[in-house]
Amino acid sequence: MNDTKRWIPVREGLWSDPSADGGEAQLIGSHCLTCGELFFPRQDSGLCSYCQSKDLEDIRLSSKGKIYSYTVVMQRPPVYYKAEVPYAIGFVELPEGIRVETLFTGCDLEKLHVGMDVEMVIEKLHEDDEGNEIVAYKFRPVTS
Amino acid sequence: MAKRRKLGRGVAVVGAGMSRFGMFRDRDSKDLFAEAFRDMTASVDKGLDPADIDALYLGNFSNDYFMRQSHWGPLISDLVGITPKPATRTEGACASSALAFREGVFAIASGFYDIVLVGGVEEMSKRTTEEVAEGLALATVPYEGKAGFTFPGVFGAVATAYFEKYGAGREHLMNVTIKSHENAPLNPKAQYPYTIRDMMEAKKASLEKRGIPVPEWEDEKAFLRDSKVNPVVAWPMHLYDCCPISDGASCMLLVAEEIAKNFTDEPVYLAGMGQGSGRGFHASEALTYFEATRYAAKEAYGMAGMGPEDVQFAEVHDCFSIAEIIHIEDLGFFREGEGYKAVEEGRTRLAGPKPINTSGGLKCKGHPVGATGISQLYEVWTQLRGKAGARQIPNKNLRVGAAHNLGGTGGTCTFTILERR
Repeated sequence: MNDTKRWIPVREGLWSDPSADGGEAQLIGSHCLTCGELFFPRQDSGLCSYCQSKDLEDIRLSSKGKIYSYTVVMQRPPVYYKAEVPYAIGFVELPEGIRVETLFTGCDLEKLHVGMDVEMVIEKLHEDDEGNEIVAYKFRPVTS
Repeated sequence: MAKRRKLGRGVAVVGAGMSRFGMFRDRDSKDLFAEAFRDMTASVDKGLDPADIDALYLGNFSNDYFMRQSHWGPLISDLVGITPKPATRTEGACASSALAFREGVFAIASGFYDIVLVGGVEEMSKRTTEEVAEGLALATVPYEGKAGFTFPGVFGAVATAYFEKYGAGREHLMNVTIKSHENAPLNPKAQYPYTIRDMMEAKKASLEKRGIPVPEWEDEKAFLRDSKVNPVVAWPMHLYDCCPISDGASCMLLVAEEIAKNFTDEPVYLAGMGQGSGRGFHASEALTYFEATRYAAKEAYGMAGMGPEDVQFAEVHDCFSIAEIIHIEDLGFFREGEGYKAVEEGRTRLAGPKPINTSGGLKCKGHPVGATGISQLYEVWTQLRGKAGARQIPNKNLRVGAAHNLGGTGGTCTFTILERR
């Protein structure tokens, strides 16, 4: 094993880091205290992109939700995406009332269905040229 | 509630043209626009002196990316010999030239200009499919590409949501594809002027010639169900559910209503137009409609004093087959959740009560994104003037037609109603 190999998030700030603050990784969204709008990913600009208020708070989003819709992609997409094909993507509805675009994992792609209970996991997307693992949040069927 | 919109003065279309759409190795944006411009000039019944054109509005999404060249307004005004008249580029992703059309209308309705050239151009095929997809992804959220979000993927998820809500299935998408391909061979400008049956027979012949066993496809749907010829792109979107990569150009001549008769005895008039903008899918109530289309339609119908029943035929933005089904509902032609049934019953065919995409649509005519909006209006104009040849709608009282253009995943939508008086 290469001991300099690291986990690198596909984008910073999408989820909380369990090694830094304990507990489980959770998606981080923004909640506008002025208009009530929810966002994921969090609004890095610190600005509500609906009402322009700067009164935003970070919120930890539920890790469990239901599949609102999905698709299985069979053709390799453009240069950015380096993980395996086919893969499933879609939208998960969280109890907070926000819809999150996500990759799916942990099950036979044929078994996915609308309304399925799913939970969030952090998982490898692909490796970069130095052998670091690029990781992303994904949702998988709830097993229990 | 949309306000009732009106123009300061009326606007007429007195000329329209488009290039052939396709993937051209040896033709560039200028060459294509020149073809569209010649076609438009030839369509002006009483002739046009280009020196009379007051201004140009040009839709182009991303030749900056595709061709490493931006600033297409003056490049095109130079090409058509109208410098130093002003040239302005508009951008709204796949709805870029519908926005150019609107700017031309505003400029004339305000009284500032009398004669305006509006057009669109895009040159995409010099890039690989991957590069084009990357370029199109410029219209979406930045990190999504790495996580595998693509346009076919998003529309695949839209189709899944629609199927779940209304009980439609993949066979219903095939009906859209088969219908569009019925119209395409009748359109000499189309990129794929073939019926599905034509392609099935050609495939059989090519397999036979190479000594490969020929599958027994009993009809078009059997052909489309064969994953060897029609592979999945993003379920349930298959290859034949997706529009192609294209090069092309389109343009129109807009003039103030009071001078329209100087150009032709048969002007087509702008009756109503609307435009809407949309938020990301995270904020949509459902993936089964586009709020921006509904807003644009309400505005256009209000301005025209018309309803969906008055629009006799339309071009709609079928970037994917599922999109056509959703648009014909959003525009009020059919009830929510019943668009797929209308297509199945043949209502949207050329000889049906509400012909949709008589040009073959984006699927067959091609989709050079910046040129698409005005190419749709070109089709409406051509049909209204009875000049559509073999694909002319068999209705002697054709008076009102419309075009719907969509940018991105519904971020920009327009709806434009033209009429003959």
